Amino acid sequence: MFLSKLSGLEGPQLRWFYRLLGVALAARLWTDGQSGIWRVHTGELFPWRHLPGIPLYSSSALLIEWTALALAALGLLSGVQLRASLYLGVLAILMGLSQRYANQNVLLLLILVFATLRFMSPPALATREPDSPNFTLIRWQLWIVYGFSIANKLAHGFLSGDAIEALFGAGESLSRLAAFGVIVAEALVPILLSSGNERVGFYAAVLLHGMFALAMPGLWPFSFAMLAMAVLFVPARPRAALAEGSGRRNALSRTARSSAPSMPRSRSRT
Amino acid sequence: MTPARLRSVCRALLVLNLAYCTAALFLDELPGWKMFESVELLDYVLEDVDGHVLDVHDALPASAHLTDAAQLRRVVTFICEHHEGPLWFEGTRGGHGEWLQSGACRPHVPL
Repeated sequence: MFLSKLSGLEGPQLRWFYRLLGVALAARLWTDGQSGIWRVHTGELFPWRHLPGIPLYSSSALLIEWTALALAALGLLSGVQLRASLYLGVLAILMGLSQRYANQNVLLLLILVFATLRFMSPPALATREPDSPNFTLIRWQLWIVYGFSIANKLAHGFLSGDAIEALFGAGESLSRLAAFGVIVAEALVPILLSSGNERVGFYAAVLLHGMFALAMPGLWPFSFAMLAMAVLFVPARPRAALAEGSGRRNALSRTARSSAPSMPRSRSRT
Repeated sequence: MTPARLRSVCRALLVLNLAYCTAALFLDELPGWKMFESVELLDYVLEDVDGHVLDVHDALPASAHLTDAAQLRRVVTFICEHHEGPLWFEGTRGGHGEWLQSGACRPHVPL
């Protein structure tokens, strides 16, 4: 998998990944509250994107969903009980998906499920080794979202600007320009993140998804979920420091090998 | 799960993921990473018997965005079912309208 050739993950990257994932869950809770999802479950509002065949649950069940979501968000933000928080997050998002299907809920579910895979590996790998193949899977997910989003947009005539015109009432030429800009930005972000310009790519993602969320406040959870995935591409230290660090580590290991051949390699805790 | 097994599971999930997304790209009915790639311009009028205009967005969560006529029809049906008295629904581009009332709330006019 070509993304596994990127710089190895380090503890700080993972901490930021979990924090941003926690913010995404908190944003889901906030947007649910702000947009009146409670009133959907009391029957006042139309059950938006409710899947047919699954009964709409009561507001008490919604309270359980929101409590699980809040606890998962708190756990991920604080780094306490990560494993339990991830499982609780999966439960909360599954409950939410059963009531209202949305792409951002699917994305959150995928990221949470992929993140829990780490805890299914042996304890030594799960707790000590930050570089686990499930995070490569999450990096791939970022490429998949951008790649298929672009493909779907191109296939459905997004470049005409009609969708932006209908959504925001912008003028024809401005809408066309914005549509082109969105597609270029969606192509640029993953390329930058994977081509040695990770920090630039991350800031570009912040700018792009910040704009999306400002234009459509319901998209804050999606934006933070994308940033959580993007942060996995960004090395914990600048590249120069990384090279210097590895050089120093090599020198140290050479010294260590000459003095104590059987010295075990130390691994950073996450 | 051994590290080798975990790697295989991750590879399998990636292949499934890519296969599903490719299928969703060609099949409109399948949900995929289709984020506002196509939004219909919906021009309509919804009024009660006294001529008061009703806004469908008042019956929707604030984060909802209507993107096609089928969604609009479902929301109008919901409003009609929760409204006392008949409603007039008209697709302004089609120029056709119809009265909706309890028992016959689903609009059929072209939009």
